[in-house]
Amino acid sequence: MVKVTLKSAEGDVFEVDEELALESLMVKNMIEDVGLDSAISLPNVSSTILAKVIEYIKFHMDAQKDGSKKTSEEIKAFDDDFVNVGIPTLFEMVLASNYLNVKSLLSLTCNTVANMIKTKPPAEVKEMFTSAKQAKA
Amino acid sequence: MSSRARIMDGGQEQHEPSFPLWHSLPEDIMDKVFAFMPIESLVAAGLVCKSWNSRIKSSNFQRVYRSTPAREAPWLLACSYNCRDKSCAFSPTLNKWLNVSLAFLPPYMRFPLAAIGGLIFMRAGLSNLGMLAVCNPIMQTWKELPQMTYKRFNSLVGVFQVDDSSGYRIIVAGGTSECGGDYECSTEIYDSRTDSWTVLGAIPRYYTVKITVWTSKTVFCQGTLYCLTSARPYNLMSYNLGTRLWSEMKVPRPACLYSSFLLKRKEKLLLVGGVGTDRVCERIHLWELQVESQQWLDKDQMPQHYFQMFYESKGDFDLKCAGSGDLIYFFKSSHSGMLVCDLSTTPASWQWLPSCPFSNHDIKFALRGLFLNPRLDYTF
Repeated sequence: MVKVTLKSAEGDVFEVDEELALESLMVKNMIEDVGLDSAISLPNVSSTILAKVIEYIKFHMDAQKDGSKKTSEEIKAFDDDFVNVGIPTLFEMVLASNYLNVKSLLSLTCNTVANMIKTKPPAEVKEMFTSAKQAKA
Repeated sequence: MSSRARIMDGGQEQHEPSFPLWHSLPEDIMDKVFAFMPIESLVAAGLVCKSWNSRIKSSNFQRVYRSTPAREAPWLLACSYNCRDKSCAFSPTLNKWLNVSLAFLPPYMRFPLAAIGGLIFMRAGLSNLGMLAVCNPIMQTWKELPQMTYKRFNSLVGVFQVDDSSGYRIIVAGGTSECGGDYECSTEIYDSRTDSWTVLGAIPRYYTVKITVWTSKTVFCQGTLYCLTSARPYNLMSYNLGTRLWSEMKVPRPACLYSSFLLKRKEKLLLVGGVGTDRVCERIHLWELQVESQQWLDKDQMPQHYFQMFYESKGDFDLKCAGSGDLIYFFKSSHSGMLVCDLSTTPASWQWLPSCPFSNHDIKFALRGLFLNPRLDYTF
């Protein structure tokens, strides 16, 4: 199995299967352009978030494989758990999935943000993201 | 064109709060986030801050939004005949009533006629004879349509779309040249793509008399515009847009049909009416028209226990009916006890709607039911 080396913003190195790396259209384009000789540098993605993105892609690739015993309930449970993070982390995942161009993860994270907004009155939305600001500070 | 977006203007904020975290998301990503939200949340999101408000109204967001499918079943827009007075909408997806104000319309534009997609069509009062307007109640925008070729009063009005992307057409037929004046024996059509009226031809006076109604409930189905005559016997009038010919056919058991409504479901015509004898309505029945054989087939009827609660007293046969897709709504002018019938299940399922916000009002008024696909992107 061909391996691809991904390098996070902090310089940490992640070695993943090529098949997994190609799920990111951005990485796919990079490989097509520069080949596999050197590590693919991802200066916009932190190690923590890159590890999360890899975990997400790996789970969904396994779930789609023939012989996978994962039920749609299990997949949904994984997704729900995956985005059950603080607002700053969620936003970083939105940005990373947009940058890496992983469509399914971008939809999942954007939908999660939409769900946080949609059930709340405007005043509460304001408050929610003020506290989000403090949490990050 | 007048454009006001009061519900989205969020006029109350004195200072602009800053959300550094939000601003860390690029605008095109916020567009994606907003596109996941249902309409009433989008309207609320427009009140959060000025940047969101202008984002939702931006042409870039509108483009993203246009490509998202409707996630909600059409709302039942309930309004009085003077729709600026009172209006609200029932969302079957949310199973609740929502405030939808039509007070942004000019005072003379007050009679709701028809709805298509996310647009509502109105006609003006007597002083502005023959004037029609179209509005998007979500965006609170409206426009007056150009004056038709022959000004008329009480004409039949039918609105339809040929396909989703090509705007809308309006057929106007019959009517009188003024209140109590001579019959206007012509049919004309408005095309939103050219924003102009074209006269399609003359109608025999016999038909003009029959289609001149004080309210026009029409259904466009398979290239033909249908309407029920407003006086008994309730006959079905139709205008074939291809042949430009009017024709007439009988409806079932006309002698004992009390109120009747024409609906469309899955490109077929449905007829709903109260059936009874001797001034007592005994049941509410649904028929489906077989176009080839011109036969009306029994489809369903309101279950007896619902019927008894719907009409608490004998001699009451007030019935209003409106349908969209598989859902048929039954209500009365008093808006007490509104029922919805879902034809997607076998047998059809019936249930009461949550109480309409108007049902506690002392003032009774005639209620119109129109269907609204709540969308931001429908324009005229």
